[in-house]
Amino acid sequence: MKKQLLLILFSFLAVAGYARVITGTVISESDNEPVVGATVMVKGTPRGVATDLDGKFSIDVKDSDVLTISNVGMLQQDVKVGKQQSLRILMKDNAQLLGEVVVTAMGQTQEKKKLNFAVQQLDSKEITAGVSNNLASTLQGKVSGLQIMNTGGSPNASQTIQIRAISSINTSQNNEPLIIIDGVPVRGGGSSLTDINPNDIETMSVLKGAAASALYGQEAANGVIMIVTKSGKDGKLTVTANATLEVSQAARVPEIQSSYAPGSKGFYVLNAGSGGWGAPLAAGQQTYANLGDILETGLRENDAVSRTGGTTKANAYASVSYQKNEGIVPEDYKDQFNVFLKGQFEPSDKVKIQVSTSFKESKSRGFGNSMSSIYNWGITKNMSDYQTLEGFPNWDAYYDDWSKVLEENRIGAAISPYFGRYNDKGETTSTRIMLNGQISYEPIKNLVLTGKVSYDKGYSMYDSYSVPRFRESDFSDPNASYLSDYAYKFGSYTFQPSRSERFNAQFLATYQRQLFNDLNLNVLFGIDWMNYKSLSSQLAGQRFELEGDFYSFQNIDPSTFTNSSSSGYYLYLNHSQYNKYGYFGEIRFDWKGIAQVSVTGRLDGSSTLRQVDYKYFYPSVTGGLIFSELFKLENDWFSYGKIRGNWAKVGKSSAPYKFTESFKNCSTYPDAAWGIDPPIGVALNLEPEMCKSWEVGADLRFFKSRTRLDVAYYSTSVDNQIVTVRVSPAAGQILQTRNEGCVENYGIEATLAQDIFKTKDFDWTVTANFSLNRGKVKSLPDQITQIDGTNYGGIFPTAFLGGSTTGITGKDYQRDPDGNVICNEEGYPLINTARQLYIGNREPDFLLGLGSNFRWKELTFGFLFDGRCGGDVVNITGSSLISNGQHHLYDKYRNREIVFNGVVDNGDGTYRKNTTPVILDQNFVNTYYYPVSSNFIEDGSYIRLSYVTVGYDFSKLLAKGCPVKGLNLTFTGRNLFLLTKYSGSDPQVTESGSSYGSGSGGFDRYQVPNVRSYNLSLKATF
Amino acid sequence: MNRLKYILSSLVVCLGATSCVDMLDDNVNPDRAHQVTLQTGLPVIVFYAQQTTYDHAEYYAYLSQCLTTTGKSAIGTYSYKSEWEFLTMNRHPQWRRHFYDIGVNVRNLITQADAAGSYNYTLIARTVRLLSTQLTVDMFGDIPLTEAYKSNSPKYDTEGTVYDWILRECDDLIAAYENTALTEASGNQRIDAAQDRVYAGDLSKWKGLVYAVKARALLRNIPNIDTSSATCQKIIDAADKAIAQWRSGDLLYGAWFGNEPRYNFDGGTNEQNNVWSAAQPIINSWESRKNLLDAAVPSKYFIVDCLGLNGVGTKSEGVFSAEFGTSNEGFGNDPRIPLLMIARKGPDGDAAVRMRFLENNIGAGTSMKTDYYPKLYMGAYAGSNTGGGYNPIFTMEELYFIKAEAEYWKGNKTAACQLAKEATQYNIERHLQFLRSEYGVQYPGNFSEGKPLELEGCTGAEYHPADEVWNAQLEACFDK
Repeated sequence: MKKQLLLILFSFLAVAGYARVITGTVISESDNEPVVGATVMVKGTPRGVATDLDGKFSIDVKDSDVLTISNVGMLQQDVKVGKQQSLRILMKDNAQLLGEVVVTAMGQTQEKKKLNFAVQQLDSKEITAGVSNNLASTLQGKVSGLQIMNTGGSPNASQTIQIRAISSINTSQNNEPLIIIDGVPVRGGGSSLTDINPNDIETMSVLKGAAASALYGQEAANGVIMIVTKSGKDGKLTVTANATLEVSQAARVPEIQSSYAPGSKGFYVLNAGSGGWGAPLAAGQQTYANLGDILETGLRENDAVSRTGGTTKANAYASVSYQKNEGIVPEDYKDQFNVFLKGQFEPSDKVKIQVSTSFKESKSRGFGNSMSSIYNWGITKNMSDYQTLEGFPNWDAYYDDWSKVLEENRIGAAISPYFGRYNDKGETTSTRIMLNGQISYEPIKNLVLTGKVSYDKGYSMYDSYSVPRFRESDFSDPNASYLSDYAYKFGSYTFQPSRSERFNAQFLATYQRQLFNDLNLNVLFGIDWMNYKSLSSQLAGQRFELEGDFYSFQNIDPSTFTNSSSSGYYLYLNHSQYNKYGYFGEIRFDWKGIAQVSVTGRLDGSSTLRQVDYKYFYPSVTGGLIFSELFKLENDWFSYGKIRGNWAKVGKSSAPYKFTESFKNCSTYPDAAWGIDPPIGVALNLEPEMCKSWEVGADLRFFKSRTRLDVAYYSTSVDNQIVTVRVSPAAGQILQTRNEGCVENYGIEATLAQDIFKTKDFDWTVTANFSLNRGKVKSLPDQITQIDGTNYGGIFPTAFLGGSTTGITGKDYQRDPDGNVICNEEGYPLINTARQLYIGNREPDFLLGLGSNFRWKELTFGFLFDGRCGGDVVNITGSSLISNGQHHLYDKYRNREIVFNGVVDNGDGTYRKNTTPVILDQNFVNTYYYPVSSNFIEDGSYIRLSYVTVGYDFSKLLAKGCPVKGLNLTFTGRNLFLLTKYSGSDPQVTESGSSYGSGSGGFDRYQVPNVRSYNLSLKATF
Repeated sequence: MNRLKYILSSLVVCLGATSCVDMLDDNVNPDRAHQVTLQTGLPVIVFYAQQTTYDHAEYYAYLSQCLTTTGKSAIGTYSYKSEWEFLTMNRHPQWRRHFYDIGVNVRNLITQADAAGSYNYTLIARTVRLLSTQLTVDMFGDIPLTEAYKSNSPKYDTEGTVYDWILRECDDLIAAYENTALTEASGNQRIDAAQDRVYAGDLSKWKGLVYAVKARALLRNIPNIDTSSATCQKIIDAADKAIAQWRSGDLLYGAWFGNEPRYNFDGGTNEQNNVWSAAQPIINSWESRKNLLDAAVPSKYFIVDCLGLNGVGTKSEGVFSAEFGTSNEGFGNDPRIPLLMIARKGPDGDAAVRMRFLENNIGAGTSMKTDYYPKLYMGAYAGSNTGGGYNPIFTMEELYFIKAEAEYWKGNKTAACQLAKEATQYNIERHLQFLRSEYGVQYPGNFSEGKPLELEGCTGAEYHPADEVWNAQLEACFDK
């Protein structure tokens, strides 16, 4: 009996030990509401459940079990079961995901209140809000001091990113910020961001100013964009699928005149097919909407799947996405495939390992800045009738009588843009792989050693041919001298493979120690090494020897092979390599969490200065005080106040290969001779550019931190500008690279966030960003007054001595002391003979962004306005329309009498208003208007409704047993509204994706018009 | 604590292990040549020697107003601007040519040649630099010399200092050319015609150029500095030595022209075109100016006032007159008119073949085109249809004129006149040699099928005068 009782008791105890049910409720500490869908796991086992709509759960446990409760946006908790029958678990909001903790230099996370420099962080929702086809464009208006410009509305448009201002005015020095992904720098600037799937991003921090990026060294002289990718989550496997469909159309296309045929000076000219300077249209004369017809509706599809799961010891995240994007002009597309894998593993309490790999492959064909011929196509000529049945250009659609065109003029005949688009091939295939691994080890408490290695490699291949426009039999003498420069008209082939790779290795040691009761010390020391290699090449030739469709490089006439760059079809192979190392360290003191002081130092060595003193050191100091805590100032309306300040220096070395003289075999040198190559700017001695900056700021919060205001004032000075200038040949050079010049910037930034409502069912937040920057060129080399960029038909982006770093120079009229244009007695304006005068400034007066997000239960609504005041734009597209007689103003004003807005010199130093009319005709335009660059400088102020997004979360409507756990539908409209005086397509434009020197921002030159888009996005979680 | 010490020690070791500079790339562009060999460097220096001579002559054609253009209606721009205009810094070749194209290439070559012990290259490079320095100081006056290449703003030496250096360098070079330790050094590498299109490495002939530059430099004493008999004699002696040097050994260009330095565009690897030819070569698309002879017309000053075009203001103006025994025989007083240019047909209403001309900088009427004016691709330098021919770095005629000037100031006017006439006669002979080799004719006007006048659409007996007309013109010119 006793035995039976013992057996029963043992059995009872056994059952009681292994299989009892515990219940509980999970509540949010911040609002006392139940947490729905929180994961409750038995630690170390795969057993888990999710909380229901009331936050309740029940799960089988034994007394020794530990429950792990986790939820997105909240701090994970471990709770011992013990003898408890029921649990009430309060979960705190995760401050990191609420923006209170940010990722800073070297991947260190810090509470924002302990930082003493300007940094702004976006979470994954903010990043993907108003989703665009590229990540960079979505940032405009969301971060103060961050300016994004793109090269138009093509899927292949390039972007330039600028934080605060440009620091280097030389055209070989880059001004883009450093991009860091999971703690390691990657190749490329703004263009890097297009390779990343936005859905893989957890947070993005923008570190502005030298102090923020001092630890990263010279590459971060223009700021840092730090991206942290998503990691696996503890808990059961979760699969998320996204599908997006977007349509887009051209927004704000330049208007073309509709009243005049091609010709000259108001007359019909035989075989004139472009422009509109001919006679007025005859009654019933047919016209064609060439511009409208070529612009199509763009379509983008994006499908992505991601999977995340794991335990507290190991987790993984994986994603696959595919995007197909067709632009608004024919055969302008970009298809991209991304794969991302990331795993984290903790083999022990002291060791953490993280590895990730990212793969991207894309195929694209761009349109470039090629809208010129479309805008200038005569309205009486049918551009879409582009081809004969034999597959050659249809000359009769453009020329009135092709037989009257002389042979020497036929070779340069105009061809419809459709012909090249549909017959030629020009595709770029690009592959990128990024590998990233890091291991951290905590040998003793508070000492963490981290090793990181990353490898970023990209391949790109541009493979193109253009079909013959002519046959040799079209010319009586195929060897005639006038054909010698036009071999490509008989076909051409260009093949450009390129490759670049970057290797980073970093060792980091951090140590924390409490020195006294309230004083903490943090020490960071690190070493890093970077090696960059690239290769670019071209195989190109002209003239297909065999007629027909054998469009192959093997069919190219070998006599056209050349290595002379004067021909566009030449052979080259270029290598580039440079590397850098750095030793860096930081000492930071923190007193009671109220006051912080830190000092950093970094010693860099750069191979690009190998021939001179290649090592340079630069320090920084930061300090901050939370005065609200120190003086106990918190009350109902004032929640928090901190002031901060910093001073920093950052060095920036030159581009590689600046010291070696270069010899060249010019085609005119006989006997295979080699002589010194003048266009190569050689340095005799160089030092790194040195940026010194200081910044003061304040972080103020009101009404229980519902109102958050961050303001900063900064001033930077970049000395030792590395410039390439002409020198007297008596120095032994034509172009010399040297240090001379100083650029200064100062500015103000402000960010305001306001939580207007925050309840369980309704929340409403507003954010506003404001920034202004003033850049000035303080000094340049002797007798140099400006550093010019690319020449756009006599208009230059210019860094001008005493003026802006982003100035504009070109031709202007003669002006009186009050700035009025001086006219002669006949009423014609007088043109200043100077070739380059300072005529504009592309720097905006200020930038702003205003966004808001609403949520009512499951319905969300958000919008973002971004805007700019001031900042000139050069409308080269518009100037072409003016010069070619195609501008829409000619419908109303051509051949009318106009009075030029100016003054007439009385001869005694006084002026009177001009009242003498002149005729607005081709003579006037091409003699007195078009040659004057200042006529095409326009104010680029704008306000844009960047996006409006409406979404609904259907998750709560799903049945309990449904495999779909979450379902969201979002509709977004982008670029819905643009208010601007600018007459071109879009004032927020750059001519090329180049961010070097003064850049080409603000030059509108035949880009594909910007687009307005509408997309529908469905997201399901399983 | 021990563990912490161990870790810190490891960190220190790591620091020391990362020895910095060895890990850095050498920062030398692998795709650009950063040094050249003597064999590939010398042709460039010799090429620029002729180029600087061309540059000098090209803008002197402008400065002297011998050529002008028809103006905006024909060439799209003003007749005085952009065409035959050299005054913008970027286009001014002489300063850049001397200090950079010649100067830097010479410095590199001399450094390499001295290091290799191949002093023949050094001597030729110094000779070219000497010539270039003399041309440059003549143009600019004060120029950097002692501090050239030492800074971005080198000190300018006075013209006098530079000339002193020129004369010292001449004497040093002459001594060097006579020093067998240099001219026959065992390390001297062979120089062939592919490297040196002027003399194929023959140092004795290059020595002649040093004497010639010395004569030219000494001439600068006349007429304002020193016209003493002793100085004049020095000039004469230098010229005589140059002449003698160039008339010794095997004579490349005959008894009179001897071995004057001619840069020959006569084939080889990458045969290039004569700078004066219709091929209009440009160095590297922007580093030199092409000759603009296709858009230029002879000015009235040149063709009327200098060359004495016949019948100006009459019906026979600029027409080749075959009237024997008159002062209007030929195109003009100077027999070189038909040697330097080819008359062409005019517009409707004035279709006659003539040597037309234009006042400087006024432009031509709207009915006139450049093609109605004489074709200037003619003569020993510019006339080759294959772009060949030669460009002389120094001419024998100039040596004779130098001597003539010195003789004149010495008081020996008869000798001076004789030397001037002989130089002119052989200058005519120079261009006649071109006619014989290019077209197989003995005198201008003696053209038949396929010859220049035929190509210009001009035929007819009046353009093919008998040789006695040509000889009579020569006699009239030289007062025989």
